[in-house]
Amino acid sequence: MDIISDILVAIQRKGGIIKPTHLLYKANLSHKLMNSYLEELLGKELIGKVEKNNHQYIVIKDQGLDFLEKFNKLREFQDAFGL
Amino acid sequence: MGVRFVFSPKWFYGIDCIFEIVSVIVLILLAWSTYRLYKFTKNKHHLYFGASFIALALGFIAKILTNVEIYYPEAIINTMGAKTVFTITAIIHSSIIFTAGYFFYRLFLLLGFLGLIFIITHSKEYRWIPLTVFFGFIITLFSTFAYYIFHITAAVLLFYVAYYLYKNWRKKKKKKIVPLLTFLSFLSLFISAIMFIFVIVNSYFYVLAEVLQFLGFLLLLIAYIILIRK
Repeated sequence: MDIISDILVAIQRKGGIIKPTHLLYKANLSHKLMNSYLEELLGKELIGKVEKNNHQYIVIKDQGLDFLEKFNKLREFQDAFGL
Repeated sequence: MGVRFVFSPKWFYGIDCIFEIVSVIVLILLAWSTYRLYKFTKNKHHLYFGASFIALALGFIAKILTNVEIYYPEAIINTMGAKTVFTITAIIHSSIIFTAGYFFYRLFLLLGFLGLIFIITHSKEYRWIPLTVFFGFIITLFSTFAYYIFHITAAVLLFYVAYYLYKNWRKKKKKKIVPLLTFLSFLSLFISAIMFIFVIVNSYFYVLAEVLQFLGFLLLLIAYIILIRK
């Protein structure tokens, strides 16, 4: 869950759109691991892929932003009690 | 059957019930949030944490129902001869409800506090749970004859919860307000438990204890509102 949140936050901080190589660096994951998480996030429609200027980018979708908002609130609740 | 005391001054009758209704609402909100957290994380500890809040809520519901029965007894029918019989029957009936009600209030509260401690201390000693539940049951049973045993035990348990929440607040470097409010709420509940021990000395201790308890739950409600509004 934390890794998924980190990936979505990394995309959000880049204005909602990021290159896969930048995401690899920001999320601090191996290529194989990142791809498996990206597949999961694409399957859940939290992110999407777009092509711009012959480059592929990853974008965060509205569902991804909703997920992040809910996750952050629950994380704060967890932190309040030290769970 | 069990000794029965009414600790509340007459002018406070019903006000404590209102305080406890608010407490029940706060506990249900916290249980719901913990359940949503569990759905995200699939961590069973979060589910048990929510169950602890439900146990506390059930305890307060038992107390509210018992107090309502004490504070607002049925009117005695003023019929010649029947009055004495009805009064005795009503007293026996009330005594059973009082004993049972306060038994479940104490039992659920102790189980709830024990559950909270088990989870926030990240304990993995599951083998001790049956023994802990057994001790909770025994303390509840003995509290029927000496009410202060329950409040002393509750104070000790709440001290542990408040202490761990204090350590948790100190660990957070940023956004300290919600952990701080959570710690202060349980600190208030701990002090309230201490005040409950002395209710037999003066009924105003009961009022003070109920107010502090209500304050504790209000602080939890404020923390909850801050969280959901972010």
